[in-house]
Amino acid sequence: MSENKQLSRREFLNIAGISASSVVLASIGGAALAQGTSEGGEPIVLGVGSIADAGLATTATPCQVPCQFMYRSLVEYNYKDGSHEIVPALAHSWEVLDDGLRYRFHLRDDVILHDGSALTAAVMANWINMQTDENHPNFSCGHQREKHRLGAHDRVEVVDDLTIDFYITRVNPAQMDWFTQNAYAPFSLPALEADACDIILQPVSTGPYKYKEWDRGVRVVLEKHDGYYDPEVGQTPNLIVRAIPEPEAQIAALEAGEVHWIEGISAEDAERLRSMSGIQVRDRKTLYVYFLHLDNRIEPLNDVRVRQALNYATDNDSIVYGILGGAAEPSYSPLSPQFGPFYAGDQAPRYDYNPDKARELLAEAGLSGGFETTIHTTTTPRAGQERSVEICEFIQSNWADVGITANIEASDWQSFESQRVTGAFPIASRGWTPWTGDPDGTILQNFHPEWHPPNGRGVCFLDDDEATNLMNHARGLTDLDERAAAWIEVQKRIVALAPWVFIHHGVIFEAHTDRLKGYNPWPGGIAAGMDYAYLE
Amino acid sequence: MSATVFLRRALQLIPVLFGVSIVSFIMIHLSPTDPVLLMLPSDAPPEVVESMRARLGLDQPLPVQYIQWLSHVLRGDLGESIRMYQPVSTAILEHFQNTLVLAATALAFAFLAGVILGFVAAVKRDSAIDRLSMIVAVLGWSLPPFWLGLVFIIVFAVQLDWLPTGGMYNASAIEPDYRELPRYLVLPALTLGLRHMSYIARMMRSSMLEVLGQDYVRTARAKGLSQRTVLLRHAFRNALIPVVTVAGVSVGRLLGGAVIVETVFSWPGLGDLVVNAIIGSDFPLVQGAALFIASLFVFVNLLVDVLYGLIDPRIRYT
Repeated sequence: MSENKQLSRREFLNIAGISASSVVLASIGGAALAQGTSEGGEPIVLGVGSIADAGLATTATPCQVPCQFMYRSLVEYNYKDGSHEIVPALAHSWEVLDDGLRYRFHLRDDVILHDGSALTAAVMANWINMQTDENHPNFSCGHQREKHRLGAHDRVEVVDDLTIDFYITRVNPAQMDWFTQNAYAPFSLPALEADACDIILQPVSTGPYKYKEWDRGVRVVLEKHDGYYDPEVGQTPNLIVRAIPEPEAQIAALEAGEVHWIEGISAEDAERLRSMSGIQVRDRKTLYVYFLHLDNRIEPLNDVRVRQALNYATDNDSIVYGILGGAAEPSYSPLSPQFGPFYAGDQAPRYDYNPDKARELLAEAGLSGGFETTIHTTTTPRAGQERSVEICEFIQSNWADVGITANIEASDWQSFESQRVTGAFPIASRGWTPWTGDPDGTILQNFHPEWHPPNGRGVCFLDDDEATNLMNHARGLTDLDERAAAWIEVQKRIVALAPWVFIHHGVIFEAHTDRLKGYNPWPGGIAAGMDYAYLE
Repeated sequence: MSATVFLRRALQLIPVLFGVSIVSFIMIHLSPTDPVLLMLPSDAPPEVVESMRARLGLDQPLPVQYIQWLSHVLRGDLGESIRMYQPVSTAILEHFQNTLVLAATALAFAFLAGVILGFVAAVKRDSAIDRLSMIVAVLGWSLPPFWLGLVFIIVFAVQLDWLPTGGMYNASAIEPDYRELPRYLVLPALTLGLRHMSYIARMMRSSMLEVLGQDYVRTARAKGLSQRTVLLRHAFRNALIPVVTVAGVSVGRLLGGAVIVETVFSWPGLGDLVVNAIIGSDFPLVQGAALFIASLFVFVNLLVDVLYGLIDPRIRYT
């Protein structure tokens, strides 16, 4: 027995040893996590969902989160009032010459790049040529990923030290929107000459923050660029973008004070976080649109009454507030209200949920007994198209109420999209996420006959002379007011033809600590809203 | 194992690896996906789509693409990651070492805790300690790691504020401090190791009970040896042999299970890398990682075969 007792003590000690080691390990962290600090103060830490979002390499997609802080283009949208009005940035003024085929920009004389070099017309020209001129010594160094973001670019010409002309190949009313893109944010000439092909990993550009460190898959560290021309922009000495792939872990990191801002949280989590002290939940309304396209060539979808009936039969409000918990706005037009003067949702015909009206229209079309069809959708959640399967199932039940039997076929994004773009699906869901605040990208690509497959992604095959003429007219106008009026007419016609079932425009829920002040969510991205942000 | 036999086994790997390379390549290219469309935004014009396709070599026939890829692989070049802007092999090795750190810690915890728990349970058979140990083992085996990981984060990082929520160092500080690694390892290693600990504990308990019933243990007791000597010198060491084998098998499972744990804890390991490569359509990286992981398992199996022969002289290969 005595042996047993001795052994028990050892067992006990063994077990205690494990516990002790755990406690020791845990107690190393007994103190609250020390937040990183720098000489100038605490960095703002942004928690983002994917490694790509926390990376510098972006391939052909628009610049991901850190780049938004490091680049500034010739002009920018009005971040202060959150609109898509184009305001000066690197260029303090501009002129449109040669009937819209030449844009002359007058550069500010106080723009200092991250390496201390000054911005001149030659620096800008070199950057543009590097992306477009195959004879440029640094062409094809990885930067051509943004080449197509130059819009209808033809060539550049340096007029004097601070004046530069951009020639474009055709009149493009949306060209000023292209000039807001990162492709027009130049890199330093000396840095390119020294290290052209590696500079992609350590950008030396014009933004209010500059590169400090990139730990792939983990984070990007930026520091304030003291030479930035607007001293009010960039209120915090350092900014860190951290990758936290698991949404719940992102929220935990915010609660634990390890990050100060997160985005893309679900409506349920937003609701929970709203009740927590020290955390603020914000809505960021977007340019996104989510819809079902209807192939206008195929019976019975070639009958406008049937397409309208499908719109009337769909209860958008329940989708927005029931399924998405308010993480969207009901859609009445291909453009979201964030398109400002171009938005026509309040003027176009509306298809508020009305199953009786839907039945009536179906009866008029000779389909009082309904019909059978298939809705294709994707199981992969992506920006602007979360919970697609649930939404389609809800629509399925909506449509069943008016006698339409809809089967659902869901597949992963890759196989779904590669079939969808060929025009293989009569009805399919899709979230469209525009790059710029100009309506061309969304409307022309989805509704103009030039973009019917295989040339483009206009898979509803809308072919209406009146709509096409209106689009041709609108795309040629350069005066903002005239353009806005013309695009509104386009939308009124398109909505009347109901080539889509208009469903919603996404709203992104963000949460941040109460200590983050001066942050103003902007529809186009994170960085612009952070221009004046600081930690209290 | 003689040198000839070893050489023969090693040569047998060539067709296996060749097959692995074909499967890795085909898996990516058979999917009806157009990676170019996935990389580009919705409104990219068709000429941009075509130029991107040509730049990535995706406009070539599939066999040509495979031969080009294989010829590069044979020269040690797995290609360039589209999203990480670094060679695929560098990305894989950098992340694999992080996975190794996590898996090794988890295995060490699983082995030590599992052996002790199983040993105590067997020695105190049918006692409260035994029952408690086995309840812990059953729970550890049953609780899914993604759930357990989140519970650990909420309790130990958010509520108690003892440990960080994830990562390998304080990524919210300007300068990384890798000396903090042990603190960052605790929760992911516990989450990853708990299931294996449970398995090892149950194996240890049954192995120990079996050994305790053997004649030589009875003989040892009859000789008047102390309980401690009987248990530790005679029973424990013999009971450990099957447990060691099980722990060895766990290595593969730990590397596989790390995918989920790495995602939950933002641990920048191989699993995390592959998941993000798949989501981000970084197909050279997915292809390279699939080849790497498959090759790793093939080589580990060869190594295990060799070690069996060395450890147990009764095993002979012909």
